[in-house]
Amino acid sequence: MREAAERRQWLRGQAAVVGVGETDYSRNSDKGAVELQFEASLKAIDDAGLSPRDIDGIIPIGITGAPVEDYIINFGIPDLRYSAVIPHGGASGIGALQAATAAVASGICSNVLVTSGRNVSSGARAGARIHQMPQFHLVTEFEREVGAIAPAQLYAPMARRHMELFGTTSEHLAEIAVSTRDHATRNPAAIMRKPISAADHAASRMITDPFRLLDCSLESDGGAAFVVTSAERAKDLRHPLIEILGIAMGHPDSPNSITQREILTSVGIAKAAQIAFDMAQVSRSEIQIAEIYDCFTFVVLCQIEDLGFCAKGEGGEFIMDGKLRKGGSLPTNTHGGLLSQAHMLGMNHIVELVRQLRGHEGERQVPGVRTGLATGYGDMGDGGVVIMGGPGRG
Amino acid sequence: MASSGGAPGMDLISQGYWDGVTRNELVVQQCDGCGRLRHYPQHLCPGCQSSGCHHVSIAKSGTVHSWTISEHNFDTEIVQDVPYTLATVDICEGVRVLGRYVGIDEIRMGLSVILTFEPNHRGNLIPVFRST
Repeated sequence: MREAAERRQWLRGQAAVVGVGETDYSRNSDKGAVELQFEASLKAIDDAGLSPRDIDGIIPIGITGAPVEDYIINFGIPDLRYSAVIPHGGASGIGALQAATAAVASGICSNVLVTSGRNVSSGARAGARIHQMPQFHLVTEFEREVGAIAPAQLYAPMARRHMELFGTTSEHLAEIAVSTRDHATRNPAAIMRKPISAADHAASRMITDPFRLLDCSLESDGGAAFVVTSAERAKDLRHPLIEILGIAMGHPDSPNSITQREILTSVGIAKAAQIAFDMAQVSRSEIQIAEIYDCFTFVVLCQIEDLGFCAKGEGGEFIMDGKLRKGGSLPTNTHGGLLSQAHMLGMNHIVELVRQLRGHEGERQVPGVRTGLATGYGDMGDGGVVIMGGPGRG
Repeated sequence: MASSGGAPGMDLISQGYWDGVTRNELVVQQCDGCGRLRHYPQHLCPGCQSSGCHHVSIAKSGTVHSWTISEHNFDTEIVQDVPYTLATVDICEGVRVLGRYVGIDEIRMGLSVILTFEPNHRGNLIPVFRST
């Protein structure tokens, strides 16, 4: 264990995100998932100042992706040296970044493209998609016929248990929906930009208690991608260095059945958080911005606790002082997240963190950001967290 | 006639459970090596990695661990059931079961419930809980 921790210390700052790209996000794209992936990928490669031929590692995210071989023929890649499949739903982006970090730091390859694209709002809904995924086989066999069809219904008992044990309320969840939407009003790329209030949240229809409509993320079409290379090589590219300081993945007990999980109120990121903070040599109070996976409002609150920003059960009160909002001490989901920008499997969270660290996001730019984190949450609680550092860190 | 539930391609390891369902029994795996109960069915004991197990029928009483009341119509076939309550139940002997709650008491954590298997809208047998 100690030897692994020492190796992670070595890995700190060895890799960097050098390019990011996103398509337009919408709820009615006339482009297919593969087309959207290629568009986002080419934008990310161009943003890095690289050519598609320079890509020698590829990790496609999600179940609607083109296989790696299709990238080779479409991008004219002469010598692909690394690829991987990371099957953890919304935690896959962080998982892929972790794999890419290790791959470029160790010299297995030089430039890894991590890419996603989906056309789901006009295609199959989440309630149908999850039952095609092997990690949901227990849910499909034992729970779907009972009426647990969609992710909202699988996660709602976690939120209800948290409310009963700790006194968390719908008003606490509303603060997450409202603050996220407020950020989205300043992001021209967000799908939902009309401001909402806590009263709007309370008036939105109940989906599955305690989740109201405004507790739920969007179903979106679009693509997002980023390029990872070694920190040494990154210094010669066009953008300031955005380095990977700490990164870790963690999985909850009983990762394929929430029903059978002893403790419903904690998720996989609880196991990953301290590893990532130790690797980064960063304390919680040094985190200036957080892009936290937000498939549902409660999932943000749960992760804030599991990341160690406050004690388990105290998340509701912790966020009510406005710290997640513009000007707060922990501005969170500054792009509008999955709740209001678009559901891009958390790839948009990683892209947003990089953009904020570069520091040119106009009206929504958090001033002076040097250190921030992004998280992923997949399937039934797989978790990932990355801590990145931008230019000007002391 | 009501049939047992289960997805197409369900694994043979869960046959004991589904056979129990047709007898209105809650049947779970018990490890031959260390005696540990496990549910949902899986190939190896997480404690001792023994693949040997037998099936035991356990008492169908438990207490509510958590729940959700679904008001959205997630599936057009299920529309006549909406709203319905999904209960996560701690079965007294140590496993959990997700079922419909149809009891007369308002659902709450710790509420004592009893399980029966009853047909759903498709005629497949599912766990149903009532308060005791």
